[in-house]
Amino acid sequence: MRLYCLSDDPNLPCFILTVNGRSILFDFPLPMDHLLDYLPVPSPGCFNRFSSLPKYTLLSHNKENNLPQQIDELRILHNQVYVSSPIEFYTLDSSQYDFSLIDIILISNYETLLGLPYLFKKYEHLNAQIYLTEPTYRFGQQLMYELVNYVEQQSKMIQVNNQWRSDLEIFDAIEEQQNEKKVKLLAYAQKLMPCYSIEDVDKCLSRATVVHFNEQIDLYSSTRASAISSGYCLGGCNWQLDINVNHNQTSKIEGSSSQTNLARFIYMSSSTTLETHSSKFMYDSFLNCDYLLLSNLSRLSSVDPSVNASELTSKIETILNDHGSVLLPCSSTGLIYDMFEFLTKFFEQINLLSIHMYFISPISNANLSISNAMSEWVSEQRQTASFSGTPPFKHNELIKTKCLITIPSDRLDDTENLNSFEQRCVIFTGHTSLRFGPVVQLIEKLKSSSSNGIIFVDNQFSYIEAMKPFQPMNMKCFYLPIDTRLNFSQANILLNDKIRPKSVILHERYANEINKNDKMNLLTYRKYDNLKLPKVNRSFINGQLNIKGEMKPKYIPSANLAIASVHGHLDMCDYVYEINELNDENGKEKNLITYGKIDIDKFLINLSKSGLFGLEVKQLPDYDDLDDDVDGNDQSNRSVEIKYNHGAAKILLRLKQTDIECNDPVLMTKIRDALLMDNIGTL
Amino acid sequence: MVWFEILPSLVLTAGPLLLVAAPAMYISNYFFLNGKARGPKNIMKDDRDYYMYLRDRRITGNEYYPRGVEAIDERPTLVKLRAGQDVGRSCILITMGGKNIMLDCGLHMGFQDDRRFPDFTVICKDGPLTPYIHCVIVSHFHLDHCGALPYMTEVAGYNGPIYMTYPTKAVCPLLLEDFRKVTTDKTTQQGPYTAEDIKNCMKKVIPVSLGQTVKVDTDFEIKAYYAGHVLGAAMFHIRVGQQTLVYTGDFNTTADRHLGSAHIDRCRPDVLITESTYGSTVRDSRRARERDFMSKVVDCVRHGGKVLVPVFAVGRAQELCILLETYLERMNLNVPIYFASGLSEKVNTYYSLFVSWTNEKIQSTFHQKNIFDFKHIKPWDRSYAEQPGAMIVFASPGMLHAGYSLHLFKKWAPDEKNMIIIPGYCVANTVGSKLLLGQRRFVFDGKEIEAKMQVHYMSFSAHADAKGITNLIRQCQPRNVVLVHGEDLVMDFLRGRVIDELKTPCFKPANGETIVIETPHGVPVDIEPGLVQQLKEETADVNRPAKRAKSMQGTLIIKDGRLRLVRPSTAMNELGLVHHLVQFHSRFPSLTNVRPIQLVALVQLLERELNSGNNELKHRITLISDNLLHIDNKQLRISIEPNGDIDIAWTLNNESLGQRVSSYIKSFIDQHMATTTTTTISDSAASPDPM
Repeated sequence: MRLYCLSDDPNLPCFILTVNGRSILFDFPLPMDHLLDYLPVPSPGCFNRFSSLPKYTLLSHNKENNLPQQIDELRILHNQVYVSSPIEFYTLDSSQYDFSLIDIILISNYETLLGLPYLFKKYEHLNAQIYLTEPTYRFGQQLMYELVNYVEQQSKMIQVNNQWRSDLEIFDAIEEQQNEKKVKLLAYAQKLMPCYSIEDVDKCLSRATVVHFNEQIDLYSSTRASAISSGYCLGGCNWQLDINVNHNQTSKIEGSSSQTNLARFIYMSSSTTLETHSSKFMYDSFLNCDYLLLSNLSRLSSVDPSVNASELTSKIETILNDHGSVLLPCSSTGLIYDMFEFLTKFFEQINLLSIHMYFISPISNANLSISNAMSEWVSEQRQTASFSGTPPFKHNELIKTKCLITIPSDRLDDTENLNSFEQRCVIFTGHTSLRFGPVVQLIEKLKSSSSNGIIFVDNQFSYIEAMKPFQPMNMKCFYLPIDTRLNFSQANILLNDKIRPKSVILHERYANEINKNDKMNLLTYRKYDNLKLPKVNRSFINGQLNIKGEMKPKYIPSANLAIASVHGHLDMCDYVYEINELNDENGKEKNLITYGKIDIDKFLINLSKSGLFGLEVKQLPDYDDLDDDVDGNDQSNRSVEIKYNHGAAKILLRLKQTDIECNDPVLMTKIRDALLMDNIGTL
Repeated sequence: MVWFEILPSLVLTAGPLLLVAAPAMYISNYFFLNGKARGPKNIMKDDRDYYMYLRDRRITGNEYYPRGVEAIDERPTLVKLRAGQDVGRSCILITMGGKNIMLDCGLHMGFQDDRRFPDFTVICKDGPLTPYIHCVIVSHFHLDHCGALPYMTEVAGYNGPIYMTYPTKAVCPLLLEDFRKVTTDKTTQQGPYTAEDIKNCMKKVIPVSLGQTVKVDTDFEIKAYYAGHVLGAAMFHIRVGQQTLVYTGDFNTTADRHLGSAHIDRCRPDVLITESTYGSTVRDSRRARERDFMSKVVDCVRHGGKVLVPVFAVGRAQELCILLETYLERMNLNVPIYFASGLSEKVNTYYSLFVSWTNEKIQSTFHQKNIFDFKHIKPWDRSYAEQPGAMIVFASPGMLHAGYSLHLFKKWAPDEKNMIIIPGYCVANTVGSKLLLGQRRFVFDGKEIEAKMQVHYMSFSAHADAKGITNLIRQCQPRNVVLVHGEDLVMDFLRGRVIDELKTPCFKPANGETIVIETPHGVPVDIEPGLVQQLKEETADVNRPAKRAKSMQGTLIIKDGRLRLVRPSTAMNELGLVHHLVQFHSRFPSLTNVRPIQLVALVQLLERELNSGNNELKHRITLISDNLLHIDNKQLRISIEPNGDIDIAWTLNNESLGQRVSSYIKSFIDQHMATTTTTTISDSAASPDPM
């Protein structure tokens, strides 16, 4: 088993596990960290002040005409280089691994699959099956649509001229010119690809197989996967793999759960022990697992989300009391469902009536109706509601009472729509990077008044960097990240006191924070590491024993167990081992196994009983066992030679071996019977 | 009801851990309370929508149903239940692997008293049922499958787990409550159970998702598959230890306008218990039926008539609503459609809450448009009945015996322009069934009404037909099929088909009959890899038949309920036993006076003697060196000692082989002696070398 780690950011998990000759890809998120190097782009038809920014001029560089070269796509703002082009993305796949060889893709939640359309676009021969839960599928699809939607309208506005990217000399020149400040965008500039299209999304999702929590999926005969609820979001899951480890063979996993030759591999992505709207985190089946791959812990080490949540309400209250509007850049699904209900309740409490909450996104209506149809994936409390016929979330009610207003469009017109936000209200919209989506326009609109406020609840992007292009701005700004994922102390408790895995695999950045433990083998990874996982040895193969006749086990009190001799055929068909007992009494008798020592006196008596008289008994010097610790005087440990009828039969009794020399079959049978009768133990 | 029982043939007792031997495990299967054999003659088994039985009971109130016979079994481990002759009740009890599982807990509409419930006193005389039943599985929300549940949990006393799918759990209490209201005596407040009972009962229900493997107990799992009969209907795959069983409940193999089709993996269960409602018919296509329905409706409406469609609130009502809605949208027909039912509006919200249980088309579009928010279908108001002009009304209940539908029937029946379409089947004695039988004159409240309206019957029930059932069996590949939930003749027909076409043993248990189905299963053992390795080495260079015939010798160690099969030597080591090798020798003195025997010559001899026969096992003869020869990998050794003696040694297990070989060699030596004595002179002349 090998684990190939493709990402340097533990919050951007992407791994390939190769096991029994197959490759499993865990998650394929879309890296977004580079978005902050772009200039914000407002919706088409709106005033775009960023388009008039000065172009980046290379002073040193002059090729033909000795004039300073200007790069169309790079702009300077607040003394920083920004890219002015439609958003493009890079993916985590690397040329070091042939992605078309991937057999299975397991997705843990809707945040970690946004890169998949690229994968299927890039590798035409990729024939992998994607396994994900239903909410992951539906929300993931919507989030991709949203992304495509936002980027598409940008590309209509901005002309692309990305020739500079292919010219490495320009890179050098920029680096030289910016000398002190490191230009991050040069690191990935050449990897950037235009955003995928709706067709790419649909093509990719046509490979998806929707699964349910705890559904046992036979990936192939020797590996079984199940999605276990992670509590992080609707349909968010951790993956458990049961892998048959016997001899690296693809032995079939039988139905029986009392399997001894399975290794358990747990891929733990975003998980939370907090009670949110989704079904709770389950880890019962993780206990004492063999491998645990830990990723996607909280970005904040210690802040309790509930503290920030109460802080959030008080900030919103102040802004609203100041007759300002609150702008909450956030993702179009997940946390907002909690926020809607949480804030409505809060407004009722503090008697702030007639506050409108706006939810602006092209997928707002779809997401709200999907979330209400996911009754099987919500917390138990909400499930009870759906059993009595009311939707698990209160969106519909809020929309009916005009508390919540959804604007399912990808753009805001400068004219009518925006005016309604001048009254005090709370606006939820994206994108959290503040580089595209309706949020760009809203900031431009609201930033002039100091009574308005923007509150960052998402911590994926640095809020200072995100707001930089919009400066100067008067509006209030608060950073109150709500990150429900496990933090280090929770992870420590979980690992050391509860799950106790045999090996833990984590990013080296996490290594110092996770308590080490003698029983726990800690493996750290870096980007592009190819870890060889410690082998799990299971000493048995699972088989089936078909008993034909009766089996008479012998009870051995000293060891408190019973043993029986089995004589049969061992068949292996399709890697299923089956032992068919032979219903053959002779066969059984023939296959005696003898153990123990021979009681010589008894043997002699037995011999005489069967009519063998006149035996010559001779003690032999114990040359065999000279170096044994056994007391040499002990009669029973000495070798004895018995002769009958002047060598017609010669029996040599030694500690571990008896040799009977005889040319007469009848006589030989007699001796044998005498030897086996109540003497040495037989199986 | 069916009992399955594994008689644990291989019992591992605790403590001394002895194997109380027996050949193979088997399931025994006891039938009981299956129902359907001798129902009222005039009931056509067409649609088993729950309401029929519900209302039927009120109207007919007959006592057709004789009490059943008891399943008698002497084995003390079995729990006995009374068998009954019921119509339309599903309640099957199986015992497999020592677990008692109840499949469905249906209600019988033929009785007014407690006999409508399964007789739980047979499980235990008094006291709670919990110790006797490990779990209850309910396939869908129709009352003949879940109606007795509150009685079982609250009155008879059962606290164990009850499993049903999410939508079933949601819709089930609605129907139970409705049933309770109908059956509770208004004056005495005497009813089968109280509203509180229903609530408490539903609290004990554990919801299950499709495909989710639920661990009921160690080595006891259930998994739900999509059945498509109604919202949330499921088939259940049950595994206890090695034994597996699939119970289909009611299912539909063709997708309709709002539900998908039943699907199951090729899971090869030991037993498949399948319904057989439409076991003998092959139905025409859904499309043809729909077209027929629509053309009739449109025809009537065009002439200004009113169409009355009596339906039940859940199930087919939604199907027909979607049909009408989409059709009218396309045809641009502007006719008001109303839906008159107490329950329906609530039920429609359940459909949108559990969208993943509907068909794929609805699933992929629900976030854009909720198909259950009907645009053209409006809730009914009593005043609409007087409105002139064409209209289409869905009204409950479906058998025209009470409520909205009867009210409208009385109003509209005398007008020949109007039409009534009965989409399901009607129980005897209801107005609906009389109408279908041709009766046209009815007396209501002393007034005679002559029904001049057109009367049509069209079956829209969601059951698999004969083709569907056989397809499911083919897909699932069970080792045994058990037919339930069908009429006797139908089951006979289907049984013949399953046996002839699918070559699968098929059972058609009569009511109260107990059937035993053997399921030969091996015992799971852990095999030591070394044992396999050793066998591989031993058979490395032999041909296939020899490999097949190769027997294996192992030692079974039974400890703490775990069975391990190891090499005898491993077992010895583990137990601290020392192997004592017993070796036999045959020794032939050296022939110093004659030319010594070459082992090569012996190889030829043995090859001839041992391996000439056809049927016998071939022995492998290997010449190790000039003076050492092995047969069958050290099983037997022939060596020439330094002093020229020939020593044949074999172990205890190869006695016959050893004796045969030694006799061959003895005769060979005798022969050799004889020949050498005669040829010595010529030999020595030819070769003066004295050796």
